[in-house]
Amino acid sequence: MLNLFEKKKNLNTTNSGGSDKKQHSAVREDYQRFVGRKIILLISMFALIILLGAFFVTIGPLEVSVIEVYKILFSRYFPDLFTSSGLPSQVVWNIRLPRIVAGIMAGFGLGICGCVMQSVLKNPLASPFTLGISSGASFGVAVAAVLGVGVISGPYLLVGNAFMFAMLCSLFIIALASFKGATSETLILAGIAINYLFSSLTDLFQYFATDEQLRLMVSWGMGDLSAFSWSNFLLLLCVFVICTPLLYMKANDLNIMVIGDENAKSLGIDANKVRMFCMLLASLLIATIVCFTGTIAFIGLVAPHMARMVIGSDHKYLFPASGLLGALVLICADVTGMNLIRPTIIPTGIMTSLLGVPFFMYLILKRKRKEFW
Amino acid sequence: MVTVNVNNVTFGYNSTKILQDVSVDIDRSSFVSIVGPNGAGKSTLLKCVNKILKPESGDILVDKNNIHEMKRMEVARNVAYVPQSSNRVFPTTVFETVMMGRRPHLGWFSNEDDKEKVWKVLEEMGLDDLALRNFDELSGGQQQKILIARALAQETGVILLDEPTSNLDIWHQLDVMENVRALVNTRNVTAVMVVHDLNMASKYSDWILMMKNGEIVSAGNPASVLTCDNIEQVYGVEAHVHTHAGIPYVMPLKQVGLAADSCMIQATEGFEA
Repeated sequence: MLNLFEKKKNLNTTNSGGSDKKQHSAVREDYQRFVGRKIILLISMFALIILLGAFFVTIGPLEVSVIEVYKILFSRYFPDLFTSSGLPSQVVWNIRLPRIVAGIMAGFGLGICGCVMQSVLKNPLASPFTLGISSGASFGVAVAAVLGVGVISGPYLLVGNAFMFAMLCSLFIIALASFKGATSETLILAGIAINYLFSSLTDLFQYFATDEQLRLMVSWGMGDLSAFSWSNFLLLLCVFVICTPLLYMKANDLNIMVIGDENAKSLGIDANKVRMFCMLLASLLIATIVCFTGTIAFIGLVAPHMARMVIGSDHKYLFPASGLLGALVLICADVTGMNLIRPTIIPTGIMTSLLGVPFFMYLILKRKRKEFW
Repeated sequence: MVTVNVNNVTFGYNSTKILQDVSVDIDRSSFVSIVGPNGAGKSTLLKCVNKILKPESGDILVDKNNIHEMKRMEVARNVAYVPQSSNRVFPTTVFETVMMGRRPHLGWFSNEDDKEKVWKVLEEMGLDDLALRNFDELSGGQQQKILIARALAQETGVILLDEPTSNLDIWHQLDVMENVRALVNTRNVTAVMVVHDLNMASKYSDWILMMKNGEIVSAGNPASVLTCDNIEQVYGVEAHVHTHAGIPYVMPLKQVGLAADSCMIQATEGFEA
């Protein structure tokens, strides 16, 4: 191949002389600062999540002192040095900590999946909720609650059904996407239609449900982190460990996907393949999260937009930032819901929207539209 | 220069044929313009050369290699495509946009070498001051130049341009054409451009392909292709063809069929049809 850069002729006659050289280095310095700022932002978001997690574990409806909370936590790993027992230990280890871990993982997962879906579908409205995945899961829960039938019986009846129906919806969307001529607008429209279909079916089930069944469906539909326990942790972690790196490896391709399929193809990216791959992995991750946490729809839609506003659209930074912001918003909302009107716990999904929407509105109004999407 | 050979290419959607048995060898001239009425198949031909579309039959060779036997990434290392400036759903900075051109060459990590190449291209085209601006905020002319810069960063022997001058004012039209001409002259790149403005094609290109209904009607240097007869036959438009400094200029007069005047050739100094 010919090396174009050996020839140092200026194409544009306006550039020459020392003053321009100086200016060039100034632009490059700006760029370096720009990149440096993004890395610092990511690190500080990560640190903030750890700090907030460490703080939130110490607050809750049951009064446990800070020192005692950490005694309880350390006693798990250093049983010789610290001792703990009784109710506080149960609360901290089996209620508070799993809730925070679930919040971080679910928020992170919903954030990155929202980001990936928006990019491969080139649509700022794409999210697990608008594509009908959450409502599919809701319907699965309704089927399990009312009819008591599911793909697996026993304690995982609800979760199994939620996962199955969430995957079913995603596969339908993916099949539609692979169908020739289905544009990203078609997919969003189909997703919204599916959303209505499953919402209606869920409503139908609710109409015939007993009070007990109804309570189960409603609380699940609001999104609740309390269903998560340590026994689910390993499963969720496994899905995370598989999906996240594989999706992140596509960061460079995602950058190119947003400029359209033809452009992507001309740059050597097989747009359809990348779209299928990313949608499949994202759906798997979403279905796993949603079946444990219920519908926390809002995070998947807005976390990527928030990230885009603060960090720009290079997916190498946008992808982790979407996840970190999702986690941040979710744990903050959850701890507020737990402690706002003690001892009543406001469901996570409700609190996420109540806190997240004003924050999101503020970001939208503060900046010009052009700057972020 | 890099050769492009199109052999008996046919392309269509269902039964509608868009390209019919098109053959053309681009091996002598390095700046080729494709002209013709809307729907003639100009852009389709360009997209076939870039493997964006797959022809039903026929071969396309770039630098003597059949692109259907090449991986998409490999094609992208040999052929760059400059689209008509498009609206983005999500914003990208100018630097990120040009960096996309490095994608066929890089692994997951964009190393300093790639960044340096992007800076060089931006500096050469006088675009480095815009590096951190958002692509969408820029004027149409600037956007088009940035897309050309992206193609340059791709370091290919062939650059395809799809109507790069439409929607631009005359200053920017000339600017884009001058830039492409300079690329062809200094870097030995083969440029193939779809263009509607016959006078721009005439002024800047070495060779013109005139297409109609998926077929190549005429091919050759501007003076031999841009004749009254060809323009009437292909566009259905009666036109004057002036020659100024050896370059034919087309002045459209009226649609054929609305009035039955004969084609007029106004021969001026240097005319050589």
